[in-house]
Amino acid sequence: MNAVCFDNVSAKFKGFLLSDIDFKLPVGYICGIAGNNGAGKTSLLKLLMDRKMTYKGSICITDRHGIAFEVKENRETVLDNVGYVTDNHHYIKEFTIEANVDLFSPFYSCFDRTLFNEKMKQYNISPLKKVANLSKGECVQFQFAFAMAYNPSLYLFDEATAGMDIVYRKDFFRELRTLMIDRNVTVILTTHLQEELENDVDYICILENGRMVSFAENVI
Amino acid sequence: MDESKQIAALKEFDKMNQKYNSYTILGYKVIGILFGIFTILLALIPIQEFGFEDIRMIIISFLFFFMIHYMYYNYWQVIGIERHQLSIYQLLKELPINPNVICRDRAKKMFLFNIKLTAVFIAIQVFASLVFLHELTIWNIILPLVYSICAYAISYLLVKISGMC
Repeated sequence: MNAVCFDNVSAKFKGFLLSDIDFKLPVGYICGIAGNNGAGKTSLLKLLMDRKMTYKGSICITDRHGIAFEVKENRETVLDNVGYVTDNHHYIKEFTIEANVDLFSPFYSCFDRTLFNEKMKQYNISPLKKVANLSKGECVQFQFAFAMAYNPSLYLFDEATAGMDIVYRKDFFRELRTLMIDRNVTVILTTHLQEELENDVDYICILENGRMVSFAENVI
Repeated sequence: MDESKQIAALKEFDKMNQKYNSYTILGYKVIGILFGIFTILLALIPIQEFGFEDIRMIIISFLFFFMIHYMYYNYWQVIGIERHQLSIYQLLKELPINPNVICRDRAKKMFLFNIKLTAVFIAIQVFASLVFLHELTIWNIILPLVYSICAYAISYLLVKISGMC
């Protein structure tokens, strides 16, 4: 079963063209998307998350119940089944973590508040801390914990480990692998780091100037 | 989630917004009440007293009428946080709720508020006209209806221009 299928997808927005995006990622694997700055890595993830992004071709996602559906016709279902961790998040920075969770958790069909609280305790982050006062690593952990609480089938990480030390990155990938085994989820992450591409991902997708130039299993 | 659950989630969001943003919401309410007081005072002047030659008074009373709408619009359409505002549509765009559900919910709230405000305005106009002038004209009813339609139309345009719906 494939977690996500891009079938001859192209999209144009703000003068940038994404084209020749064509790959299938099986369930339970990590795909690393690599490319230079401006190659279209974030834009590729935005195709799944941004309602205003229109595209040609077909993008299908499998939800937590194993049902596949087309992204552009089921935006709400996509957003309920995809966890997105990014610098440019929608959380209100001036509010505390607890306030953000109270505001946004009702929109998800199955949000486990107990799990979220446990994860925040594990990461040693107080829910009364304002989002603006979180370090980059803490912000990633908060978003990750929030996503885990609503149990998506697919996780998207946009440069989540950029600027992080090696200990943090190792812990991050260890937790990711545990999650993938426990819940049979799939991960797509964008990265610049060669080390991550070599050691931590199962599939590599390379973008160049908005075009997909390669998608293959990581044999390193 | 089906539409009824999305609406329930939106109600919960509004409840939480009132909890965490209470000072800003209080600000909108206070300003709305102040405009409301001025609007009632202007409504107590029967339209026959303005006359249609002096369009300024008509415009002024409409502006006060509209400002109550605008405060109510802000209350539901934007979230004010520490001196800046976030559109609720921008805030919720990455969440599993259909923007049309938000639009319909807010449009319904604005419409019901508009109806109630217009009814109050008409009632005050009719009362003032009968008590002070011992007469009633069709304009005591038509002018508040015109205010109501214009205020709702401007609110709707504001939402459309901002790209929210």
